[in-house]
Amino acid sequence: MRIWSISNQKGGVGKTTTVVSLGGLLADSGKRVLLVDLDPHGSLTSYFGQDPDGLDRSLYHLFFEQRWRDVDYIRATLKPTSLPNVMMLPATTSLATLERQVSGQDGMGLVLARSLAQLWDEYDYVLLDTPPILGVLLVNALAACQQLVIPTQTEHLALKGLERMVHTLKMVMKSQKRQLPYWIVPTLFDRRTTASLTSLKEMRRTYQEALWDEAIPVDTRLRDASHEGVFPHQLDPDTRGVRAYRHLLAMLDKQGK
Amino acid sequence: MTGNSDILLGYFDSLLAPCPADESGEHPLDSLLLDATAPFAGEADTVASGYRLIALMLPGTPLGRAAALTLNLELLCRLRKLEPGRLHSSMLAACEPEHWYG
Repeated sequence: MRIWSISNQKGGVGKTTTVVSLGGLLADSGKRVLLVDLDPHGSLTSYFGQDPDGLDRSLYHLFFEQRWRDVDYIRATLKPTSLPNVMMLPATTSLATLERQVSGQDGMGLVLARSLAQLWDEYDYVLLDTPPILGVLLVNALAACQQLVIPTQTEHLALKGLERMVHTLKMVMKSQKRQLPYWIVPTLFDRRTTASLTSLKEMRRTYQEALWDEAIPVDTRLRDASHEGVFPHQLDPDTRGVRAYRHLLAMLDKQGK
Repeated sequence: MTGNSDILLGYFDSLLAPCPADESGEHPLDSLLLDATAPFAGEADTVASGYRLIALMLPGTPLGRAAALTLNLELLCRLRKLEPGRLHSSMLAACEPEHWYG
C-alpha cells in the first residue's frame, strides 16, 4: 500500500480534482485504489453522489470507541465510485466538530494511519483529500502518508498558503522524527495571464527542489467530470488536464519507488 | 523557535503521541518494542510509528502475548546481525506491535 496525501492549507487550489484525477488514472492501470475524504465540506464525498449530511458512517466514526481497530466496520463504511476498483472512505459534516471532540486526547493524530494499516493488503494506493485547515484531520493525513503532494494555484495569494503548508509539514516531520518527501504541483495554470506566469516563476525561485517542472492547466473538462460524477479520464481520456495528470502520476510513481 | 512554533509543536506532539487509552494498558509493551526497533527503523517505510499490520500467525490463532513478545525479541536479536536489505526490512516489519493484539 502506498499512501499519498494531497494537501494545502489554502482552499480552491485543486486538491479534490487532483485526488480524483490521480485515483482514476491509477485505477485505469489496474490498481486497487482507496480515496479518503478528510474534509468536513465533503467535496470528494459529494463528487461521487454521496451526501455528507446524510451518511450514517464516515471517517468521523472511526475516531470513537476504537472503531479503527474493527476492519469490518471500516470496510462497511466505504462507498463505491464510478469505477469498480476504486472505493471511497467518505466524510460527513460532523468532522467539523472533531477538533473539539478529541481535544486533549493523546494519539488522535494516528487514527487514520491505524485504520489504513487494517486495509494494508486490500489496496495498492490510498489518496487522501485533506481540509485546508491545520487541525487534527490534516495531522492525521501527514502522519499516515508516505508522500505529500501540495497542489498550488498559480496566483500570488496561493504562495502564502504554500509557505504555511511547508512550515506545517516541517513541524510534523520534527514531531514524528522522520522525513516526508513532498512535491509542489502548480495548478489552474493559465499561460495567458500574468498572475500565472509570475507566480510560477516565484515558485521556481523559492521551491526549486520540490517543484514539479510541469503544471496542471485550467481545463473545463475537469469541472465537467465532477458534474457527471465520473473520473476525468472516463469523460475524456485525452483532454489536456488528464494528460497533465498522467505526467504527474508518472513522476510521483517513479519518485515514490 | 518562535512562541507560535512552540505551541504548534506541542500540539503535534500530543496528537502524534502513543495513546495509552487506545492500547488498553498494553502501552508499556508497545514502548518497549518501539524503542527496540527505533535504531533500525527506515525513515521512508512509515505508517505512523510502524503500525503496519503484519500477521505472523494464521487468522484465528493468536499467539499469547508472552509468546508474541518472545518471538519479537528473537527476531530483533537476529535483525541486529543482518545487513540492511529486503530481508532486514521484512523482519523489521514483522517485529512491529500490531499483531500482538490478535
